[in-house]
Order: sequence, then C-alpha cells, then structure tokens
Amino acid sequence: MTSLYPKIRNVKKDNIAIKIMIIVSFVVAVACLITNVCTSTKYMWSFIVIIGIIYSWLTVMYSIHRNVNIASNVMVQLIAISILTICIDHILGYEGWSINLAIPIIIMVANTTMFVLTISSFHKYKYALYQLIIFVLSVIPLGLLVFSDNIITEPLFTIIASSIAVFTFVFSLILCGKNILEELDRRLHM
Amino acid sequence: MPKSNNWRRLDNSAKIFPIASNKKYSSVFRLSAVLKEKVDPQILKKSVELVLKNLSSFKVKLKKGLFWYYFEENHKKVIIEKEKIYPCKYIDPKINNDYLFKVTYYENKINLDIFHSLTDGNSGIIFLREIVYTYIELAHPKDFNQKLRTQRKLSNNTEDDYLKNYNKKSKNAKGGKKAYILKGKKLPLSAIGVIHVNINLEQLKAKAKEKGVTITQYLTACIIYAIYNSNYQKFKGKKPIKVCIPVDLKKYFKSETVSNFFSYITVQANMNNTELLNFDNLLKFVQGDFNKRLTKEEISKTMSANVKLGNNLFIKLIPLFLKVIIVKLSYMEIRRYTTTTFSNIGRVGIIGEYQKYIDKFLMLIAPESVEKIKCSACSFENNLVLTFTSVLKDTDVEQKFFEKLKEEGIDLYVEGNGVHDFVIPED
Repeated sequence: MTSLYPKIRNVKKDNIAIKIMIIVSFVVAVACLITNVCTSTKYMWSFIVIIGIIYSWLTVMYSIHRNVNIASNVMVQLIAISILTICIDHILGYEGWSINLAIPIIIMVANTTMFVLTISSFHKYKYALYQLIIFVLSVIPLGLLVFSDNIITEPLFTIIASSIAVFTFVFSLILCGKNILEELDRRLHM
Repeated sequence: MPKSNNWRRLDNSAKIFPIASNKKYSSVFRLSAVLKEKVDPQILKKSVELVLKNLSSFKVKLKKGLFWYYFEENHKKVIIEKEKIYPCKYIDPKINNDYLFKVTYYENKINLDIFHSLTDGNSGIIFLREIVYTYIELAHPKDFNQKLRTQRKLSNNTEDDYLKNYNKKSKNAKGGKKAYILKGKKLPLSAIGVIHVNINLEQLKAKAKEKGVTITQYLTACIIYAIYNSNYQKFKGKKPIKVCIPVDLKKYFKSETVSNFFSYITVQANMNNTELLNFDNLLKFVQGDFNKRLTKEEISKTMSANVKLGNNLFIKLIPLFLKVIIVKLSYMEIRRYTTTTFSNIGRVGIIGEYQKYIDKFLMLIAPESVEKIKCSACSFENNLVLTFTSVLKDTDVEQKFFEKLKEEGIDLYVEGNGVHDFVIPED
C-alpha cells in the first residue's frame, strides 16, 4: 500500500534579512536621537532620520506586499513623500517650501507618470481607481489656494501642477473613458 | 461569467472568506482522489488545463474593490506541483499565479485545495471529478472514446442563488450560547494532523438503519460522544458541545450554480443533561435536533439572515479596509459558538467505466486555533472516509471515535499523515 502523504519538513521561513534590517533601522534611529539630544536641540535633525526610516519601510513593505499595480505605488508615493516633505519643512522651522514647491513637484511627477501609463496601456487600462484618487489628491492644493489665503503663498507651481493633473485626467478620460467606467464599475460595485 | 468584461461579484457566502482569512485561518478545504495508479504530473497538468477550458468559472483571480472583493478572469497558467506542505494551508495567490485553488499530487493521490470563496464542497467535487475523468481518459486513451468524453455537460452558472432564494420577510434565527472549545497543547510549527477513518459503508448503513437514524446523524452522535468522553471530561467542560453541519442548499432550492450555495445547522448537545451520556439517548437527541433544524423553513431563516446582513446598505457602504478590521474582530467571537464542524458531502458518484481506476475520495477541512479539530466525510463504493484534521497534539477525540465504532461492530481502518501516532483498537 502506498502512503497518502509525504513527510513534511518543518522549515521555519522567517526572513532573517528583514529582521536584521529592522534591528539596524531601530539602532540607527535611537543613535541619531541620542546624539541629537546630547549635542544640540536647536534643530531636531534626528526626527528627519526617523521619518526617513519610517518612509523607507513603508515603501519597502508596500512594494513587497502590493507589487502588482504600478499606479497604486504612484498613489502611495504621492501621499508618503508629501507627508515626508511637510514634516521636514516643519522640523526645519516651517518656511512653506513643502507646500509651495515640493508638493506641486510631487504632483507633477505623479501625474506625468500616470500620463505615461495611460499612453502605454490605454488598450487595456487598469488604473482607473488609482487615477481617480491621484486626481482628487492632486487638486487638493488648488482647493487650498482658492479657499484659503495664507496656506499657499507662492501659487505658481500649484497652478501648474493642478493644470497637469486636470490635463492628465481629461486625457485619460478621452483615451480610455470606456475602460475607466468599466474599471470603476467593478472596483466600486456594492 | 455573467458580468461583462470578465469579472463577477462574489456570492453572498464567498464575500466573507477573503475578508476573514489569513495564514492562520485559511478557509481552504481539500478534496482528494486516490487512484489505483501512480499520478503522472504531465498528464495531470494537461488534464487541469483542459478542465479549466470547460469550467472557466474556476479560472479566476481575486481583486480588491473599494467596497468588496470581486473575481476577474485569470489568464496565467495553472501551477501543478508535488505535495510538500500540510493540507488546507492558506493559498497565497502571489505564489500560485493568482489562482484560488491548488492542484498537487503525491504517489497515487490528486489533491485539489480550494479557497472557499470560489465554491463549496459539493461544487468542488464536480471540479475534482472532472479533473479525475480527464486524467483517466488521457492516461488510458484506448479505453475511452471521444463519444464518452463529450457526454459530460458542465455548468458554468455562477449565479448568486442566495439572492434568488432568500426570504426578505424571514425573521432572524435566534443566537445560542457559546460552545465548548476543545483544549490541549497544539502541534508545533503550524502542523496539521490528518487522520482518515475508512469505514465499511454497508455496516455503517445497517447500523444507522437499525437505530433509525441517517448516517450523518449517526456519525454526528459518535463525534459528540468522542469529544465528551475525552477532551470535554479531561478539561472539565461546562458549555454545550456544538457541531456545525454544513447543508447543501441545492437539496432544498432549485439551483445549478457552481458558486457557493450552502448553509448550516448547529447541533447543540448540553452534556450537563446526564441522559445524553447514554449513546442511544444521545443518538435520539441528535436525530431530534436534526429534524427540528433541518427543515426548509429553518434553513431559510439562517440563509436569509446572512443574505440580509450582506445586503444591508450600511454594511455595503463600509470601505473594504474597514470591513476587514470589523469582520476579523467579530470572527474571533463568532468562532466561539462552534466546538467543531462536520461536513459530509456524501457519495461521490462516478461513471461506471472510470470506477476501476479509483480507489477512494477524501475530503479535508482546515482546522484553526478555535475549532481545533474539524471532521469531514465522503464515500465511494463501500468505503466512507471520515477525516479528522487537527491542530491538537493528542488524538484522544479520534481514538474515542474509532473505539466507539469498533464497539458498535463496524469495521474500519485508519490512515494518517504521520503527524500523530494512534492506536487502532483490536477487534
């Protein structure tokens, strides 16, 4: 009589590299914080290191777990880098460069990437949901500019970034409108 | 696929599984066919590819929407490999070309592990049977002509028959008390112990007939008896032993769907009632409880309550990521209302010409941290295989079960996956 099951070898599949990297990240963060506090507390530069480490881990973990849709990575980077730049700006004694300059540039890059993705895959478009979210996020600064006088002080880059976002979104709608509607139908079905 | 552009919604039962599942709670069941010859992996691969052309409803991947998951056509190649891990383990779509089922083989055995979102046991067996038929045809081309091959008609109907059959006005079924949870040391390294009890079907039928009960009722009583006389007494249990019995709704409602279409009843044995300590009384109680709960009206109540929950506008509007958190938290509690599950898919019908190539069929359900032992059964020819899948180190429940059947004069033999040592009682 043949056996029904193979002998299973219990191999624990813990990723040692990830564990080492977590320990290294933690040690670097703590070492920077201690050095910062012991030398000068005028600029809390160690916080930049810490949020940089958090950002790196977020990017790595998201890329490992959700490595399928490029547009989802664009969306996550748009959110994460924007938060990162605002934090750095605040740590360095807020001068507004994050809101006035950095975030509009991030929006431009994200929408240009979506533009390229649209052209390269319009026949089988599968980024509709992310495209929509990226568009909504991209016009938030424009909303701030219209409804609040003192948040965005240098509006030029914000206007250019929002224009690019609107152009990319309209372009995608024209080129793959049917696909976008179908994609939204399946993604938003209740 | 009913929806255009190669996607479809998940049926009402299927919705819950991807939300609640993870590596520890896999929601995977296994159906296996043991042949009388060694499995050829090349022929098996070709068989599965051919079957998927006809049963395209299984050729899907799971995608995330804003509110629910959905199925989309999968264009990748199916992966067939030698069995090398424990059965019913979580199927990680990333390493399975996005498929929600996994075909493996070992010696004479073909395994089909299925994620429950895809289908239930009764439709799963149609899929496995088709793989087995095709495999036998390809392995023995001289014995099977084209006519025989084209005779079999397969349904790709994936309609959500829950929606078609539920009663909007039905009152919700009453919730019961929490159940006795099996206790004991767990197996290390996420191992799953498997014990197959091969039971002489004729003798079992005769015994059940003699007692005036069905085979499922008889085996359910044996399982409760085995739990009470081992784990329950050892750990001084107080709560009732509750056995969840999945019910094939196709027996009660007209349906041709290959999607999920099952409900369940829960047999609740309060072992503080000393009358139930006598096996014949227990058997009568189980029969009575089955008769009370296994009516179209009662089943419709449970089904309708679940459908109404899935159709609730407020629940529909909760974004998927929040649903995952809420369902995972509530599932931790819900699972405490069942001691074990016993699923009997019954006889696996096989066309005459193919029978001589098949030894038996097996069914396995994934145990987990709360329902530490699960039981399943299916039969072929004169052999009913009742399978215990367990994460517990000791096999007291299983031992008591063999002993009881032996005591009742039913012939059996036991096989396992080598995780547990067990003693088969002498005649």
